[in-house]
Amino acid sequence: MTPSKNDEEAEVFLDAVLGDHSAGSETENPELAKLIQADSPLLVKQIYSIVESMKSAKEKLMELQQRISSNSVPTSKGVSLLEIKLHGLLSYLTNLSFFILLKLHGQSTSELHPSVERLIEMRVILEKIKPMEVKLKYQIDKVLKAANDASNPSAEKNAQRNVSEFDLQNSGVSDPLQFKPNPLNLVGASTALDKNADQSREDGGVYRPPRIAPVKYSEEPKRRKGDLSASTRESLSKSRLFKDMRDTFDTSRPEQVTSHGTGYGVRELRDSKDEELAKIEEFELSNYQRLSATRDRNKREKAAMRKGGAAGIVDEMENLESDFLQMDALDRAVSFDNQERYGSSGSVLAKRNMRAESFFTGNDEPRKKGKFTDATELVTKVASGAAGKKTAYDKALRKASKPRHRTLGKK
Amino acid sequence: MIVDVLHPGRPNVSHKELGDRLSKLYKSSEDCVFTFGFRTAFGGGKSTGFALIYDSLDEAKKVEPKYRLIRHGIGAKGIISSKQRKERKNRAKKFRGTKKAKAATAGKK
Repeated sequence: MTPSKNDEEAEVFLDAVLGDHSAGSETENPELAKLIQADSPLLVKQIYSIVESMKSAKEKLMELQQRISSNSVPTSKGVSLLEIKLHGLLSYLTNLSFFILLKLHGQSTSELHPSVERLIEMRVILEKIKPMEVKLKYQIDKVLKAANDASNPSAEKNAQRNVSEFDLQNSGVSDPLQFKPNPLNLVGASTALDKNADQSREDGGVYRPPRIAPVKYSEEPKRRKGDLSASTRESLSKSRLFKDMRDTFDTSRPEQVTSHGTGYGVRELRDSKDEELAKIEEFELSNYQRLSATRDRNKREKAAMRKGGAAGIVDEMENLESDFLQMDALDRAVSFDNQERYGSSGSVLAKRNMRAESFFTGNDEPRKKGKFTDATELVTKVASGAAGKKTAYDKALRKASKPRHRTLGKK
Repeated sequence: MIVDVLHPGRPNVSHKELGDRLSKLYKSSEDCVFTFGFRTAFGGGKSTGFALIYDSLDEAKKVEPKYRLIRHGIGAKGIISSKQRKERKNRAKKFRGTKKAKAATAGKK
C-alpha cells in the first residue's frame, strides 16, 4: 500500500461520515441520530489519530524494509520462540483487521467466522508463550549482553584494569554465555583482586593475621536461675497433684480430661504400663516373633495386683513423694520470676502495689525487668558500689574476715 | 507378613484353614505356607499373627526352624519321652566320639 492511497481513503471516509450526518437521516430514527451526533466528534478525533499513527508507522516500515532488502539485519536463526511470537502477532493483527472490516460492513458475527477462529487460536498461543518467555528471559538477556560486549571493544576495558585475560578467564567474568551462577562475579570480587595485590606490596610480602578479639566458647547454653530442668518440667506436667491445683486455682484455663483408654492420647499422657505394652507390640510386629512374659514382668504384675490396683489404677501416694521433691525447685523458679516481675522483694505486697499502679495508670503489662534494661540504673548501681559486694572477690573477702568457729580441741 | 484374621462368633482359626486361605490368595501350594504366632485379641473375633510363604518346599526346609517343620509334618521328631532320652544318654556315656551314636542305637535294640 502506498502512503498517498491511504490518506485518500481516510479523507473519503471522513467525508462520508460527516456528509451522512447532514443528510435527512434524522427522520428515520431520532434516538439513533442523537447518539451519532453525540459520538461523532469523538469518532473524528479517533480517526485523525489513527491516520497520523499510520503515517509514522509506515515511515518506519519503509526504513526496515530497506534494511532487510540490503541484508544488513539478519532475520533467520534467532530465538525460535520469539519468531513464533512474531508470526503469531502478525497473524493476529491481520485477522483482527478483517474482523473489524466485517463489523464495519454490518455483517453479524454471531456465527463463528474462520477469521474469528484464527483469532482465538492466536490468542491462546500468545498466552501460552508468555510464561515460557519469562523463563527464557535470563538467557535472552545474557545473550544480548554478550552481543553488546562483543560489539564494544573489550580489550580497552581490560587494559584499563591491568588484569590479564588469563585471570579473567579463571574468574569466569569474561565468559558471558556461561549461564550457571558464578560466585566470583559477586560485588567486590574484582576489587578484592586489586586490594590483595596492593597489600602484599605494602607489607613487604609478610602475612599479618587479622586482629580479632578471642571469645569464650561455651558448649551448653547458660541456664538461668529461674529455669526448671526438662525432667522436672515433664514430671510436673504429668503429676496428679499439680493438675488438681491447676484445676482449682487457675480457673481461666479450660478443664483437661485425659484420653486414657482411648486410642487417641498424646504420647505424654500414657502411663508406663501402656508404654511398655506398646513397645512390646512394636517389637513383635517388626521382628515377626512373639515375646513370652518374662519373670520380671510377671513379678511386677503380681505385685501390682497384690497392692490392690486392678489393671490401670495408679497409686497416688507413690507419686506424691516425687511431687513434693519437685516442689522445692518449683518454688525457687516461681520466686525468681516474681523477683523479676515485681521488684527485688518479690513479696505479696509488692505484687499488690504493682497491680494497683497498673490499674490507676492504665497500662496492663507487668513490668518485667531484665538484667540490662535500664542502663542509667546499672551505672548508678555500680558507681555507688552496691553491685560490687556480690563479686567473687568480695565474697572471699567477707568469708576471710568472718570470725571462724573454734574447734573443741584448740583453745 | 502380618496376618489379621477376623472371625466373629467363633474361636480362632486353625493353622490348616489359614494355610488354605493364604495359598489361594497368593497362588502357592498349601505346604509352602507356614503360619505362627497367632494371638486372639481381648474380646474375641480378631486374631493377629504371622505367615511366611515360600517359593518351594526345599527352600522352606532349609530356612524354617525345626519345630515349624514338625508342625507341618515334614520334620523328623526324635524321641520325646524323657525316660527314653535319659536311657539313651547313659548308654552313650560309655563311649567316645562317633562310637556314641552306634552305641545308642545298638543298645536300644
